[in-house]
Amino acid sequence: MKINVRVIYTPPLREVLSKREETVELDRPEATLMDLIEYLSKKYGEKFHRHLLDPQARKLRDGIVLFVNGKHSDPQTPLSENSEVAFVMAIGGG
Amino acid sequence: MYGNILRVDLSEEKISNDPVPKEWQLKYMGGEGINDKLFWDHFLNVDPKIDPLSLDNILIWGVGPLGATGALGCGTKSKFTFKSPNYNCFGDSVGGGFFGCQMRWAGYDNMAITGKAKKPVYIYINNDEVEIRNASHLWGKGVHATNHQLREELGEDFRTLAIGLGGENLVRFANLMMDGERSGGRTGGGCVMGSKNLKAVAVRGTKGIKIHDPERLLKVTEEAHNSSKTTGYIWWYRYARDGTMFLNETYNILGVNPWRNHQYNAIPTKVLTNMDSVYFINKHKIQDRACSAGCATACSHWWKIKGDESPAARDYAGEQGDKPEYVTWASCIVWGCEDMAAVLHMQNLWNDLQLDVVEIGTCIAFLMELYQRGIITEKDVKEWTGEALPLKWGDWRVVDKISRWVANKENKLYDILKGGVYQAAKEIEKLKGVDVMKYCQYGGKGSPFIEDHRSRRSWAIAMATSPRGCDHLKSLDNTEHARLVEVAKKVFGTAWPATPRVPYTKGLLIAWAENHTAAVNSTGLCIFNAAYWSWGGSAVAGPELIPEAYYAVTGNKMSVEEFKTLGERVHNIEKAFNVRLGLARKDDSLCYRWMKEPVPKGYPAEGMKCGDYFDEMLDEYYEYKGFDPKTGLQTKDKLVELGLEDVATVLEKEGVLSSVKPKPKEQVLAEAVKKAEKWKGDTSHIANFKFGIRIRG
Repeated sequence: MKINVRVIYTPPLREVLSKREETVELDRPEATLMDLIEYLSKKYGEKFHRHLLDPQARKLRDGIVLFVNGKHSDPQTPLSENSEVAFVMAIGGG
Repeated sequence: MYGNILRVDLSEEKISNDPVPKEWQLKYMGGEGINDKLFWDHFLNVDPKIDPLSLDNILIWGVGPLGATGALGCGTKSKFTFKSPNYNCFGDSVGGGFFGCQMRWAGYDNMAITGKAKKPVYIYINNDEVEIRNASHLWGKGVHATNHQLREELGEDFRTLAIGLGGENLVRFANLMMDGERSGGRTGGGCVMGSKNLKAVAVRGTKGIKIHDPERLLKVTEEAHNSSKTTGYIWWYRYARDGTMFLNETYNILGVNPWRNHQYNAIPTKVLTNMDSVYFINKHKIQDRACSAGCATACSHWWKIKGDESPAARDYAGEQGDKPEYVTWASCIVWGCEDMAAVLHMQNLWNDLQLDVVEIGTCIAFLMELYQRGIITEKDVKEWTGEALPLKWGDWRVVDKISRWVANKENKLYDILKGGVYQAAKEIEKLKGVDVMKYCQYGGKGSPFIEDHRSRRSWAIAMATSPRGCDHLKSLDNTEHARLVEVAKKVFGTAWPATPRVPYTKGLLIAWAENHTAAVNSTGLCIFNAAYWSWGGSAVAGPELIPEAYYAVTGNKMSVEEFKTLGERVHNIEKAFNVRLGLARKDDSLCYRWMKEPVPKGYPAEGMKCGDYFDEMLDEYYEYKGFDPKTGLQTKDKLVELGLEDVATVLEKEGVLSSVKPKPKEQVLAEAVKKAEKWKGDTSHIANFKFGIRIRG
């Protein structure tokens, strides 16, 4: 069984991938957010994971906020059919 | 190495300078720290309750020892300190530009200006040559023209600090403008300049700065830069590309954008599409620039309006200028602006008139909401200005007019708005006999800000407690809304400060952030660079690099712990000045809308409001600071611990010092963590990606 997940890209991923959003089909019904990240890393390669993953610590960069259906989430968060996922580089200032 | 403190008495026309005392170097470092020391000492001989426009006020400039040296690749920021004519309390301001660099290269780390000139003057500084010169020919000119003319007269090497009509006409929120483009905003330093008949300072410095250990400085700078490009990459990338304007979309998702006077905390997606940083880059950006020496990020960008980009572009075709920060952008969406060219025009206009973007933007948004509600009408506007203007959301031509009227002191609207939005609300209540304060957005000390704080617990406290009034630059921190778990763990040993919605640990987070920000602002480095690269943005580099760079530049040894304590000491001086004015816990507060009105349904973080848990968070903040939570006053023990016995003596004599024994920080933290662990509420920040479809523009 497959599930469809809607992915929303905010800057700078939006510019890097030239996409505002897309629907991704995942093979596993029990997929997690980390599965999606791995899928997108394979699909887009270095330009995707350079912005998301810390190469030294080998984990998500501090300051990358993950949302599933509008709620703060972790890489282990399960996804389901029509889940809405967003990667937000959330820093403040002004 | 350190330079000198330049002292200019405009009344007596006396100029002197003396070296920065060694004791001050280690205790206050420079920039904000030494400014504060000079400020505190000044008001030992002058009544702190003076009218800020009196000649007894002091205007202090400073750049810390790392500024203008290239240290850490973090650029240079000038700090200004004075009693604020805008909020009648401690005032300070920070801004970029090469003015501060030239001052340091001329041999000056700080400058204290007192008295009042009999006629308009400017201060001429060419290395050791310092003169007070006639500025009658410049009086009446805008910031851009003043900057241009002075450089034409003196040479392109000169950089300026100048005022325009806002400062001349004593608009209480007039900015300090450097290089014609870089604002020292908030709290009205430009108004203080105007009150002293000081039109400008023009400086050229060619002496340079002697570096104690150049090789060591290069090594630590390289380390910082490598860190920014690896672990801190995402922070560096976004700043370098977008400057702070990248925030507009992030904040729309998190619920921080102050759409239509904070009635909503996000703007419609269809509006954002033509207003975000990507649009700016594609349509208007023509060049990357660094605003000051030694910056490896270069987050500033030069722009141009061609004329065919949008409706407002037709009005302002051909204009060029320096990049608006997020704050300028938000100071436009707060009055419903839907056109990027209008934002760019306002950036130029407000800089030229030296109007603080936050105050003028919020004032106009406030008037527009009153118009929306029928509290003021075209008839009122005609009575005040002679023109029966409808105050419709997003009308940039009206905003242009109002801005000019205020700066030029043209009509009654000047009297209503000259003191900022909080004073404007009081004036309008008198004029209309209606309660309008609930539509007026402000935080501590009656100061507005153009970010909505209801979705972030920690920032609610930050906006209430900042000693200069409500804004982000006294406690710049992203730990909660960016979920900086590694930073939280490194600083506090727990991830709770990085967990959204949980109120516990947010007060102490801001208490820490205030100290940290004051420390960074005492270095001379740009707060955005230094905070993000070396601390907030990367848990790897940490604050260790700053004392290392400090040693390389000055030869003074300072431990990381001493550097942190320095920030806390500096913050306490600012707080102590306000305490002398009678400010206490009651003044660390927020406006009605933020405290009582929940975020509307369908918007990010819907249902949240600042009033929830506010008192508990404030208690925690005071306790972590070592203040008395009941009164908000400082305690003798804490001031003595920080080496501020002299400050404690003054406060004790004036009856505004608490004798309460402060709790150890470790205990405050442990208690907060315990409460956080018992928290049963939602710990997710609720973002909203669909609201653009549901919200009508």
